[in-house]
Amino acid sequence: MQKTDEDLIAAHVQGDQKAFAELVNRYGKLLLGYLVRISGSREQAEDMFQETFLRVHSKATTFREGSKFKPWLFRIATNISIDGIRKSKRRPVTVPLEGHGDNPGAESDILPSRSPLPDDGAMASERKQIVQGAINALPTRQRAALVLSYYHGLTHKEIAEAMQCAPGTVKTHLSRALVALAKLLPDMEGETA
Amino acid sequence: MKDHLSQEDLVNCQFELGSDEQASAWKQHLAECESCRTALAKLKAKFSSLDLLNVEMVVPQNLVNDLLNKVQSAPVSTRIITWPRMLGLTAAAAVILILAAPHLFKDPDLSDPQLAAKPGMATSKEIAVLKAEEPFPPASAIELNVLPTRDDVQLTIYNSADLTLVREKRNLTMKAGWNWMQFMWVNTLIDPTSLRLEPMKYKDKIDVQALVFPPRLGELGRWLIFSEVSGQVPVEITYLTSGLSWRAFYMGTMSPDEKTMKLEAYVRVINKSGEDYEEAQTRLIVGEVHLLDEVARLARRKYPYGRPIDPYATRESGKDDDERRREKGKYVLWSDGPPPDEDEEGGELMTHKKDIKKEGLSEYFLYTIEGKETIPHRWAKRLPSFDVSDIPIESLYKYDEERWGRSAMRFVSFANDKDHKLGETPIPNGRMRIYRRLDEEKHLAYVGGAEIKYVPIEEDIELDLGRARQVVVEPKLMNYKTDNYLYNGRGDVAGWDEIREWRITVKNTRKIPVTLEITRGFNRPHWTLEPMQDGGYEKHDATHARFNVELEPGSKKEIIYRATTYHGTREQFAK
Repeated sequence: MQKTDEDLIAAHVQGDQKAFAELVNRYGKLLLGYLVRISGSREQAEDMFQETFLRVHSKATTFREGSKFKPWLFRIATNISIDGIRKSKRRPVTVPLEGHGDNPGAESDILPSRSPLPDDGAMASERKQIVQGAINALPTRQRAALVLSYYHGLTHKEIAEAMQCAPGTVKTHLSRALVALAKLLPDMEGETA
Repeated sequence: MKDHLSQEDLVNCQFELGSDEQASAWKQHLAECESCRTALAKLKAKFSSLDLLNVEMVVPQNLVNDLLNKVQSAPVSTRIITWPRMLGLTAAAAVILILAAPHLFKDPDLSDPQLAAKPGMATSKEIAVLKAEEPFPPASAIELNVLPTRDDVQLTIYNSADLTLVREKRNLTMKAGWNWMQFMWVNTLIDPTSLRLEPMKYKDKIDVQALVFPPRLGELGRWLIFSEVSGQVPVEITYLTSGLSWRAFYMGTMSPDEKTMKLEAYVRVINKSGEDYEEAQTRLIVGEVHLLDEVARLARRKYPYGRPIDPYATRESGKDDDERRREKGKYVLWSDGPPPDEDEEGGELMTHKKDIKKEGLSEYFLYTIEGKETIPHRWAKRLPSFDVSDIPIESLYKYDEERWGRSAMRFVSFANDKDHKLGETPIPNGRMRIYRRLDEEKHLAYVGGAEIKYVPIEEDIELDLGRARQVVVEPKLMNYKTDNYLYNGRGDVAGWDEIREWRITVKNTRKIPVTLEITRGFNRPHWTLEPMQDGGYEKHDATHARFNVELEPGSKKEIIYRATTYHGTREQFAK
């Protein structure tokens, strides 16, 4: 039977090296995706990825029994990413139409377009950059709430635990983020539901 | 009907961010308002662009490896116990310590089997349990160790084959149980099929089970090792690589009288293998080694042992896959697309174990460079090889129009033997530059340079140093006539003699005496030569005569001789 995340963190505290590696295996992609979307920079996201797991390792003994690992992990990641973003004093990224701009990671992780028409691929790439730019334009905490909710499916309660705030505050962050995005995102012509 | 829903209301409605009452009100309004329904649909379409970023991230393997290394090197921090708890624990610990003290400081009895369970050595029970556990798949990063830095490395460079054998010693940190040990060769010319890992200690307790090349992870291989010990284990890793080469250079300094020479030899080692080698003991192989394959080509293959074999490609009834392959004599290495090397022979070779064959060896010799050197990638280093003084040499000038035109050539000769203070090892081929010491202050003049071939022990060496400007040879035809005609039955000339009188002026403008060897050719084997002045000669071969002349410093001599060549029926009269 597969061990739970909580069992693994407990095993890690006891000195089981395999347990930590398994946690990295389970949450690596998820965490990196979160950090890339929230920071808008692949390079910065990879640094934060390492820092997050290293902090998980160093704080493993403080993980309370009965808690859930995933929100705890995202809490650490959110704190690190907010600090990181504030330090880098990022401005909304404006990505040129050609090239990777400041988001090489976003480009490299995006699956190649399956469209046979070269124009379709270029348009999709441009839209992705616009979307990433719009998300980057959000204030940090709104950005974190949006990414955790929309891309990672965390409940408001889990997001609240990750961001160390009340669930109502999470709703407010989400609402403001989405309203802002509604103004920043372009209309999708001819693609209404 | 109420006013239309605001954009905020629409957003909150779409993402269910309102209260239950608000949600109900919005639902009712949307049921009645087509305009708001259209606006909501547009909003949904707009937000669908967020899904463009909904792609799965790929975590780079090196990022994970680096992280796990850092985690392994840093212990889990101990739990911080607050003061009230600590008081009780401290008291308990003190009691335990007092009671256990007599037993704690006893010398361990190593014969006691229970003590085999000390840290570092697993008990047989633990081993059985560990072995029963399946190791994690090779493509996961679990149980993975990356090789630590080298403690020692030895390079043996086979120049003739662009092949280097690398032997490294490293201390691996193993844990009891399964270990995956990773080795990467990206951007290097290492042949992954030649990799070998052998423990230098605890050989009976460490089992190197397999070397796996997980696909899609790039140029890396992983050893699966079962270890009964945990801790540091010294291992030796050997492999073949390409891209390392060496070249010999020699500097000869002749004495002012050109009777002796000091010979200094260097070896320049060039590293283009893609890997840095620090503090490496370097050994050089001189000679020919016969190999089946080129290491550089092997190193650049995508799949170390070829693509996975398709057992169904040659299905014949009643036979299993191995049997079919044995009968065909080769493996089918591709099921679609071109073979990895785009030729059948390359595909076949990949399935066989590689050997270094020594058939057809002329001879080979091993040179060990003293000490250790650091040779990073894209660096070349010059290392001293040998230094021998007062080697007796012969400085000789030669003149042969057929070979070198109308210039005298300069040669220096000696031998690779004990008489010449050499003869301990063969001399590898390389470039030799000769200088001459002009005075006691060690001012040097460049005399010339030559490429020398590999010189075995007891073999002579003659260096061609190029044209000699200070020794001049000027041959002049003084007389020519034909004589002694013989006629055939029809009255035509059938035989005759050609008589030439030559005067060769030789000048030595140097300040030391020189020996000059003049070779004269006749283009035919039927000739006689009559010296007339200083014309003492020897018959060099069927068509050549050779004069040896000694010239004092700043002197001039004339050699005069008459050469008769016999043509046609007169050839019978040649002596």
